Amino acid sequence: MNIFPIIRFVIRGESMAPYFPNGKRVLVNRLSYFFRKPKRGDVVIVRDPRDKRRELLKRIVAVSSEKVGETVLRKDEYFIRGDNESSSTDSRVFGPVTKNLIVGKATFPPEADQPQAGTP
Amino acid sequence: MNIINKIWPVRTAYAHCDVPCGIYTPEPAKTAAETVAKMVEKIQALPDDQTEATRNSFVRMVTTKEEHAQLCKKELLILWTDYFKPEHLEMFSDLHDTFWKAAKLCSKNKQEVNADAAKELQDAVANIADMFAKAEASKK
Repeated sequence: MNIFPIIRFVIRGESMAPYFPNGKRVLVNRLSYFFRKPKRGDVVIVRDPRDKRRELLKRIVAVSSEKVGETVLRKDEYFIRGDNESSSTDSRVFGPVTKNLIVGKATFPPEADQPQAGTP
Repeated sequence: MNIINKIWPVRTAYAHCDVPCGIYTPEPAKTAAETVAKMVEKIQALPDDQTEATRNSFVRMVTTKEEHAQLCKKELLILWTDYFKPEHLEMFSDLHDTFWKAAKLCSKNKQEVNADAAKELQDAVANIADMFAKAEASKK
């Protein structure tokens, strides 16, 4: 059980590259949406609605009451997508996510916390 | 650091595609190797002067060579680690050695401006493309 409000994550996959590339670390504040609602453009950690043990990194592209295609998002619903649409599994596959599945907003930690990779 | 990791663990954030597309081709590696060879040729044909235009062309060509040698390595590694399966080792007993040497050639082409090394890389990629074609044909 993690008692810290800030959670450390390492990214696996390329759907959020180049801003959030594979292997990069991010920090997520679990209290980031305690006093305010998620906004369009926020990059968030979301529990996968198909398997809640898995956590995904995606960008919010539409918020409650906005229209996505023919559908209007209901209260507390968010449409999330990967920045690289061709290599991302997101709301286009599993539909909008509800606010209770959003863990928090992702930000970058200081560079010192990034894994050091060798350059071939 | 281990203590920090224990009390403040790093979790995994998945940012990927669930569906492996299963589309593989040696063409990007071939094009990249060809670009490396072309850049070596162009660098060696540059006039022997220090004008701004020549220096600018030189930097651009070296950058392109560097990028495409790296791209070639990436594309080869995808074929090696994702496309080729253990059963292919029966068809190509030298599979690992072939890829390893080809990847090394990518590095050599980054380090040097060497027409022989560029040709060796093109030949190595052509050989891998041939292995790929044989592996594909064996599926049918």
